[in-house]
Amino acid sequence: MVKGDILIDPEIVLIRRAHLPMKAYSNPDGTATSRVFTPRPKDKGALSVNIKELTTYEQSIENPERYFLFQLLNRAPIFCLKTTKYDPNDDGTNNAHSVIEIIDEYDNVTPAYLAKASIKCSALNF
Amino acid sequence: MPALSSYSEDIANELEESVSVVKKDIYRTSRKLRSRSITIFDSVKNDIGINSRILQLLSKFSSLEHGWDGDDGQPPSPAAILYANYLCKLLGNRGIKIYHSAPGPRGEIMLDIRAEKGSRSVEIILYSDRAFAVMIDPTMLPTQNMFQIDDLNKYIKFLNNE
Repeated sequence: MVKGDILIDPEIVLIRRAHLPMKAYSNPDGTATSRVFTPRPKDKGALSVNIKELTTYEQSIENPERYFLFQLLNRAPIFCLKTTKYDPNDDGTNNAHSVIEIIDEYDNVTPAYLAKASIKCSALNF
Repeated sequence: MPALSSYSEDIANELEESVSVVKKDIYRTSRKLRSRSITIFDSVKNDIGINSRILQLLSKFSSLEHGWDGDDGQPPSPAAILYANYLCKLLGNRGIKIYHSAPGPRGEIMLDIRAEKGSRSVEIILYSDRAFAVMIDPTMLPTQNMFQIDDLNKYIKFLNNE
């Protein structure tokens, strides 16, 4: 797989990292809110994820006191007519990095769907 | 035999004392009633806040600063917080509980309302200058529309599977 490849296999598992401010990004039942899957302004519509088989729990979460992880199948962005593109860091710090694109600024459908399609990812079920 | 006038005076004094005692009783009782009614009112007020947890969350969100998510997230828009507060109370008055609320990276506030039965939900996303409603049914792709207060009934019907 090379940088820029589009992931067409719907069974590829993707990992999304979310920040842990006041636990608001988690629903009371522990599932992800749609805001977990909303790109930041600097992302320009490209939502960062890791390919699970190319990373480890520790590498993806970095700091479990600061972040938590959700996982979902690649079929979810495909269903939303988005593409997942392999995008490893140029400096080699993250060879699992990929992006789901393009999620428009006011697109709240894709984040809602991806959130519903995800489950919480812990060290136990990684 | 004592003079009638002394009887009258005694009776008058007794009456005055009795009235005074009754007055004190009434005052004590009405004070208790008042304080109890205040307690009842407060608890009813708080219960009417079936969305009181959400209101508390919104209060916390209003103190978030730039970069609050560790990743360049914009602080929640004051206009979005205000609108969210208003919707909380409006929906609460109609007996509709908001399941959860979360801030977003562009200053938006998301309100998540779930059906009491079934798995449908509606998200209302409030930005500084616009608002959207997303209707979520797990059997299909969600749909999004501009949110207007006048459309609330439509979303409630959607949640009720009507």
